[in-house]
Parts: sequence; C-alpha cells; structure tokens
Amino acid sequence: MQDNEIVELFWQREQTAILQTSAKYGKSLENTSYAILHSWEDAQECVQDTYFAAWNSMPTDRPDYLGAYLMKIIRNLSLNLYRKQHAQKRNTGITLIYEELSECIPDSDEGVFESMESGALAKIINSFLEGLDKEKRIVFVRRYFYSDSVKDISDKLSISESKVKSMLMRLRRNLAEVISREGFYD
Amino acid sequence: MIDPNKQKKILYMFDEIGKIDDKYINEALLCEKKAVRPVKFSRLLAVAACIALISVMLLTMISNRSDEAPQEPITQPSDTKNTEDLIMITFTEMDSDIRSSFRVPTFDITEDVDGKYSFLYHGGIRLIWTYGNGVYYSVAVSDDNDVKALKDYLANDKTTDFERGREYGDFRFYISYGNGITETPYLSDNGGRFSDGFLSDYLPEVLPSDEFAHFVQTFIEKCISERLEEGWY
Repeated sequence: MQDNEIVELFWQREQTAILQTSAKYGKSLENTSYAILHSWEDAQECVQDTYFAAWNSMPTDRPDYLGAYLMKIIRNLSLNLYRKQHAQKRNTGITLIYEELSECIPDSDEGVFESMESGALAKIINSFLEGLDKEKRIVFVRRYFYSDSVKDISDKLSISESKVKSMLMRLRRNLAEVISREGFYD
Repeated sequence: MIDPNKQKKILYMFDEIGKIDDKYINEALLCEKKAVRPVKFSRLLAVAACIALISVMLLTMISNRSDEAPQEPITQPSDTKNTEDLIMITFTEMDSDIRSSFRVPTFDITEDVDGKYSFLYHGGIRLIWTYGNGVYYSVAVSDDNDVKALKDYLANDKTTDFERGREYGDFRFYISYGNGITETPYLSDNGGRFSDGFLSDYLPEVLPSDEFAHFVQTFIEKCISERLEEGWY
C-alpha cells in the first residue's frame, strides 16, 4: 500500500491503518529501535508506542513520507528510553556513534553550540546533505540517523566495510568544516 | 571519558540529526537491498580443495575397508563413518547429518532480524559459532581445563584484528556460560562483551583474527570429537 493511502486510513480512523503500517514498516521500525536500545523487548515497546503516537497525530498531520515520519518518532522514543537506561546498560554501538560525532564539534562554545537552538544545527546538516551525492548521503543518514553498524551499511549498499569507514571519516571531516563555517553567528 | 560540556553538544547534534529533512530519511529507508556478493576466487579454490580432500579420504576409506576383515557392529546411530575419521576433517566438511546435529534448534532462537539471532542458554558451558550464513551451531564444553585454556588464549592480544582481510570475515564465535550470559570474546583487554543471554554482534571494526579463528575452529572440532566419542551422535 502506498504511504498516502495508509495516511488516509489514519485520517479516516480506520484501524487497518495500524496493520498496514506494521506490514510495511514494522520490521524497519524495530531494527531502528534495536540499534539504539539493543533490546528486542524495549524495541517492540517503542514500536507499539510509535503506532500509538501516529494514531494520535493523524489527523492533524499528513506526512508526505510516512516512513520517515514514523522513523523520527521511534528514534526519539528510543533515544529517550536509552538515555533513561544508559547508566545501567551501555550500548557500545551508540557510544561509538557519539564518539564519531564528537569529531564534528568545534571546541568553541559559540554559535549554534552556544544556544543549542532546536532546529538550528539541523538546517546546517540539511544543507550539507543536499550537497552530497546519493550514496554518501545514504551512508551518513544510515549511520547517524538510523544508527546502523558499518557492517549493516556495507551489506545494504553492497560496498565494502572499509569503504564505508573511510566515507564516514571524510563526511565527518567535511561536516566539521561546514559547521565551523556556517555554525557561528556574525 | 568525554567532557560533560562536549557530551551535551554531542547529544544536541545527535538530536538535531533526528530533525533532518524527511526526504533524506526516506531515501535511506528505501535503500535497503541485499546484493549477492561475487564469490572470491580464493573461496572457490578453498571449496575445490575441500571437495578434493573429501574425495581422497572417501576413496582411501573404501579401499581400506575392502581389505579389512568384517568389523564388529558400530553402536553409534550412524555407521557410515567412525569417529576417528570425523576428527580428521573440519566441521564444515563433516557429513551434513552430523553438522545439523550440532545446529542450534529453531525453538532456541527468539528473534531473527537482519540475520541477528538471540537465544538464551542455561545449564553448562557451550561454544556457539556461525559461518555468517544465519545458521548457528553449538557444542557443550565438558572440561573446565578446556575452558580455562580458551580463556587464557583470549587473554592475549592476538584474538582480534582491525582493518583485516575477509578470509574469515564471516566466522563468529561466542561462549555461553549457561547462566544467561553470553560472551563475544572480541576485546581481550576488557574480557569481551557480555550480554544477558543475547549474542551481541562483534563490533564492525573488531573481528576475529585469522589466527584466532583457526584456533577456535580447532578447539570446536576437539569438543565435537569428544561429544561424538561419548556417543552424543
């Protein structure tokens, strides 16, 4: 079923909307949550909470990309849960991603990193992604939005793990330059 | 340990990545495709070598048996091969019925997403391994000295490799302690990764070294031969 058809089911308050969503995105949602939480039980809970959130937000919202809309919800839910739990149970995968992202952050506290205004850095990252070719953009998003491992990205895109690693390294370096250039207020 | 101020910035950045344009998220969502990797020539050679080896051994067995006096009936369920012959060949070359008897039963596997399996073991120490094809095998380790020898080996720094070649790239090995804890022995300096009953995957940057993979496979074959001698199969 197409996204707009599923969204219409939500708007019509048809319960099959959840079934259709589950059939189309259930597995991807669970994977995304698991990548953050490393617990299938918690991931499944987040998936259920995502369906609940989607049900409550539509109507009102009418997303163009239902998959992306749901992924944003589950990512936030999973991160919130992870941060609540992380003192007891560390996910080495996420810790590694945090360490990678630290390379993109300037030492200075100026600009976006002073105010940490919601959406400000996202704008810069969007324009950075806009300038990338498709493969590099997908690698970046799969690593830092979906928290995929390097191996998963390598499998999904049929490229070697070393290529993924070197791509990510260059992307982080380039992003760091962009943030240094554009992330500071005049 | 990351500075708390930097930690805040990292979390802010990670959250901001969550707000990128939907079209990029969707583009990456739709990218999932499993490609069939071309088989490396070295792998073809290895398969051809295995077939040649098994053929030579079978021919040798047949010619030996035709010269020998009639044997006592074998008490094991299968009488196609005896245990000593099995020890001589590697696990992957063993009769498929024997291999499948060491396969982790499906009912023990609780999840299956993207080839990642999770299962709990209780009661006794077990070795679990896979050749990366989504099929897992396990064998019990009955000798505490064997486990100690394995852990001593793990304590050196030759177990893992960074930026390595792909010859044993798909081989993964775990130890289950029978109390719900399963260890991925990938980092010798921190004793490996422990998880509560689930097989944590190796980190992509840290994979079993060739030397370790050889050692482990020999160790597995030793445990298998012991189980077979005990009449386990």
